[in-house]
Amino acid sequence: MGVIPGYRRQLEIEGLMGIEDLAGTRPGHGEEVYADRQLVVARTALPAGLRFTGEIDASNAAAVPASLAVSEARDGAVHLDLSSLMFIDISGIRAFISAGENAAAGRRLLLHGLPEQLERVINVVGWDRLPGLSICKCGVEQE
Amino acid sequence: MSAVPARVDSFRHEALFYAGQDRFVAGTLPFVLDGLEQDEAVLVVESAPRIALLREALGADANQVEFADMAAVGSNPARIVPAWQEFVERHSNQRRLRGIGEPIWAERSPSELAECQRHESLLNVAFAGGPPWWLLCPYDTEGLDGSVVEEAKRSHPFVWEPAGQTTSDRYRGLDASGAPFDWPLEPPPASAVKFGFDGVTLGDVRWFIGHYGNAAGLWPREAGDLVAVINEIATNSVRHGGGHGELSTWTDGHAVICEVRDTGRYDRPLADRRRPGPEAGAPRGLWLANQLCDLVQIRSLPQGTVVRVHKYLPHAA
Repeated sequence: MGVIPGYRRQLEIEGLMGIEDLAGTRPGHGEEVYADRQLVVARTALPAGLRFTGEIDASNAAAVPASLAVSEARDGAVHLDLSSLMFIDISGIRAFISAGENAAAGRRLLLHGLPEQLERVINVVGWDRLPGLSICKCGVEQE
Repeated sequence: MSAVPARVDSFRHEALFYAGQDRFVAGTLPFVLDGLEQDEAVLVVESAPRIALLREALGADANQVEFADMAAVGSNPARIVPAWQEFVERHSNQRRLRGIGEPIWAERSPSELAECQRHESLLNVAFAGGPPWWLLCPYDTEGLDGSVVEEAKRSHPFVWEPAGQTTSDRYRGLDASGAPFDWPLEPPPASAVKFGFDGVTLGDVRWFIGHYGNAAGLWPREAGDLVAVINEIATNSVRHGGGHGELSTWTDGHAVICEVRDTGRYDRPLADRRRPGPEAGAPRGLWLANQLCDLVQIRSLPQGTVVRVHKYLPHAA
């Protein structure tokens, strides 16, 4: 039996894990509205919205409504760039769906760059019709 | 022998014991023809060779019967109840219905067999009190161990033996059919990698499973599925199972096997096989596990809950 104590710290020492380093290093990153050890949420200017980088699970799914609360809509739409989201669990997907359902009238949430894993999970758990959310397949990365 | 009804007024779950493929058609054909004669919807979930035999025997009538390959529908036996559920929901408003489903065959692994036997018991719970329909479960006594036949008599209220149709005096009853499941699991091997997790180390669990799965030979997408599934099960431990749990991971050359143990109580026997509705709050983790993985074994033990997930390696599938 192999017991693994302090597994993540070991990885961090070896430089194999560095989610924290992602903050501010991507070109075009705007002001950060949320950051923890596995997730950074930053504003995007064109189109107006948020970019999620890292991983969302039960420990930080609350970052979704918290970030959306300070996001700005232009022409009634908030664009959410998920192309750098490396993992999202069901509680994270649930957070986006709840945000879509609770969005103020006239405010739409547009999801860009859904990772394949996220799309698979959404389909399998029966959320393929997402109320209040639009999945944008425009293929154009935001800047 | 009790009287056999022409049609049923509640869910009738019946085992058919037949000896060898040649006897299969003799046992199932009259059942299908009776259904067609009464204009019932009929779904047969069987192996491809047995579907071919039954089709041939039915001739033109085969066009009125729905067929599905049990190897596709029920390779993970926890997917069979939702398949029947879908059949019942699709037809029960307009027509009476009956089905044939053979989930157990000789080549099933011991782990699959245990889950198939649990599935047979859970069918009683899943359809009790619902629309009336008649499900016949053939068992090939030529290829199966005597203990499998004995268990079929405990999981089916009715049995159909060569001597005739009768109620099963061994049937364990509806309450026991859905009681917490505590059949023993083989202990993990000494080579299993074990570590504890809690709410702030779920990322470690994901990182480890991803790398272990890839190194063991899963395709990246399959390893990603396993990561998503184990993350949900570990999250259940954090939220409902005492706040933490222990993960054990190993491979037996056929599958990557991950087991999560916690101190929580699991007492909703169908929670892993009820298709979740669209509402945001509905539980989805165990449903996801059964859709993305090959076998999910849930055990309710005095000390807590064990969820053991099997993801078959590509060459072994």
